[in-house]
Amino acid sequence: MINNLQQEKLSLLEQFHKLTTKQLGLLEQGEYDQLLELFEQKDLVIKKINDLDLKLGKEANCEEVLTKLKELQELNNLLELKLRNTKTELGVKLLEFQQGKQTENRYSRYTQTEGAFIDKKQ
Amino acid sequence: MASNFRIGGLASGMDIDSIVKELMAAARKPVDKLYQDKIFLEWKKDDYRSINNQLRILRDEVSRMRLQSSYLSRKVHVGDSSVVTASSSNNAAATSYTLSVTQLATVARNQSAKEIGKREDGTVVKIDPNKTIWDQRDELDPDKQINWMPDEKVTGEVKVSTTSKNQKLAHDTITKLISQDSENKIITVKDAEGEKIEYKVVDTLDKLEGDDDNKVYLDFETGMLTFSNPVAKDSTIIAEYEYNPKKFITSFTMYNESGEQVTKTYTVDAGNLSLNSLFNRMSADQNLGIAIFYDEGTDKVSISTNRTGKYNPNEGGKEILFNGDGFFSGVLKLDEDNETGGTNAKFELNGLSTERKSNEFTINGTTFTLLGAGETTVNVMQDGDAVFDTIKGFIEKYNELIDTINSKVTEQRYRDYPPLTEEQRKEMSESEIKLWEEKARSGTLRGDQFLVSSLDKMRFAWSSPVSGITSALNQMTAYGIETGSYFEGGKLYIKDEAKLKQAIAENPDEVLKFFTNSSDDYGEKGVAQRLFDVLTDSMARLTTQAGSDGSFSKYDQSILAERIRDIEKRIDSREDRLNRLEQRYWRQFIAMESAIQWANSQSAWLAQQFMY
Repeated sequence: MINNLQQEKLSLLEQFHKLTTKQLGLLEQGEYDQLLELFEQKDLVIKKINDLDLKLGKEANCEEVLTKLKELQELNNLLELKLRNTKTELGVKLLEFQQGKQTENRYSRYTQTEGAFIDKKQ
Repeated sequence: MASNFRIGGLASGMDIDSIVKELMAAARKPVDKLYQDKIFLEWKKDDYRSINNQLRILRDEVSRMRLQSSYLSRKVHVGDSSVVTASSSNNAAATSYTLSVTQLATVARNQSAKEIGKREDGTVVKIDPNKTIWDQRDELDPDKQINWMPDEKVTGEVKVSTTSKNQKLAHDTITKLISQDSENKIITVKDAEGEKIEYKVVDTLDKLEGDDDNKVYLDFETGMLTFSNPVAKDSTIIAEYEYNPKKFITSFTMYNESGEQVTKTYTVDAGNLSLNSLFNRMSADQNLGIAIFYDEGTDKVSISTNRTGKYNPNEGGKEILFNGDGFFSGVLKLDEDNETGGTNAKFELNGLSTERKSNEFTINGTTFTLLGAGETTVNVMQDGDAVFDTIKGFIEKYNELIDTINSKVTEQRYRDYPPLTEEQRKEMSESEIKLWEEKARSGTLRGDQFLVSSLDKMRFAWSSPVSGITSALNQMTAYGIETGSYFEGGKLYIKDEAKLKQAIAENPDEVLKFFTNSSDDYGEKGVAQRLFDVLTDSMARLTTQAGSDGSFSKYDQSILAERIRDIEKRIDSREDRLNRLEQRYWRQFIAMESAIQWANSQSAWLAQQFMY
């Protein structure tokens, strides 16, 4: 049997789920600013869950909650993967710019490139 | 926008600031290219204008070469330069003169017959030439020969500037005070409010004392007024009186070109002028045409005409007549009978006896200046050397322009050395910049079609025959002028100077026509005419391309200026785009870092949830 507090925790986890799903959508669209706003909202949910856990104590996770947590973990892993992939794509774009700089280098004899991702030596 | 985030995963140790800077540097490349194009066009425009300026300079020279006078130089040889000097204009007839001078033209002179200060009884009075004539009128004119101007009547109003008993009328040497009341002479004072007070004029100063009547004493000689009580500032003193203006009119007579008498009058302000100041003014007055001065050493006055020659038609007649004038004749003791000079120059030119009022005269474009009596020859000849030098000098200037244009159209273009951007300059030393820019600026006009065309047309102007001239003399080679080596680009040389000199001496008309002939037909035009047309046309074309030196960039409608403005617009547009791009990239990077960190943090929380 799931008690009221557990039900409440489950609802909050559901909310967390929706927010993460929405983040995946925004990532697809390139709406990175809105992405961060949702992380903030998820933090608020986390806080509420933490408060509930204090009340629930050892009964914090029932079967339904655990199932949901596993779902969320998978979803979050997916989000992380996509974030890294997006970063990789941006990195590829950087490389493309770098290549573009090199191809135009013939009319700027002076500016020699050394690679986009190496620290500039001061 | 510094950031502490590191971008991991792709490579380690990445610095966002540097990444974005490099990213932007890459994105800036098209802008830098536009900037370099703009700079190159500006250099090209400057070089065009510089060439155009030199075209203009040569065209000015060509203008002179179009004039007949450039080929008609004359030189003059005088046998005896103590008799005459001579010079000829370019149009003067080439001929010989024999000249025999018997008399030079001279000015008419006179001087005081006696010392001015000497009296009939033999006494001598010292005359001060720097004291006013009025102040020493008795010494200068004891016999009262000067006809002084009559007294002038005036109603004088004098504004009082200082409250005082002592004031002054506007004039001195008062001869008569006029008043409505013939018994009592009155001077009126009107105060600042317009109230009038009448002051009775007394004849001595001590009569100012005593009763309360308003009284005033007038010093007739000085015009000074002494009132019985102070006259307030801003009052007006009103008096009607007559005064001696201390002036007289003097006159003398001379003759004009037609031999008619002309009387010259002069008003002498004796109250303000001394003899010296008067004579200075008279000598400076060109209308009088005389020079006059007082000599303290001899106590005499000398007077002479400014012009030479005899104008009085009467035989033995004098040039300056005093007509018994009180000042000239009476005071200065000038007697016409003592006049000397005023003679015409008399000479015989090529056997013809003639006279001139001046020692300088011009005949057939040759100006003679007589210097003394005697005989000599004067030969006016064509100055072949001057004509040769003119042509040679012109060819040298022509070659200078050819050199300049040739060097620009063949100048090497270094495409690997585009103009430096500001970023590049910051990282180079001054010497590196200098060396780079020497190459970058080279070749702006390499192979330029306008300049190459101008060169071709100028060469053609010289090389094609001028019709209408004897065939033996209708080409430049007939005058010893040839082109240089092929690589010299059309420079000219006088390879046979003797040939040119011979042509100038023996066929001056042909030489003249070869350069200056004017016609609507190109074949008949002289070389200078053709060159003038080519240069004018070239200048117009270059101005269309690059504008003129006086054009401000905003109003310069030349082709290059339009192209430069177009590039500037494109640069501005790209710069805006780059700025927006830079901001977007920054946001994206920072957002990505934040997101990844956040996701990691929330993942950790999820993992920790399973611990309950």
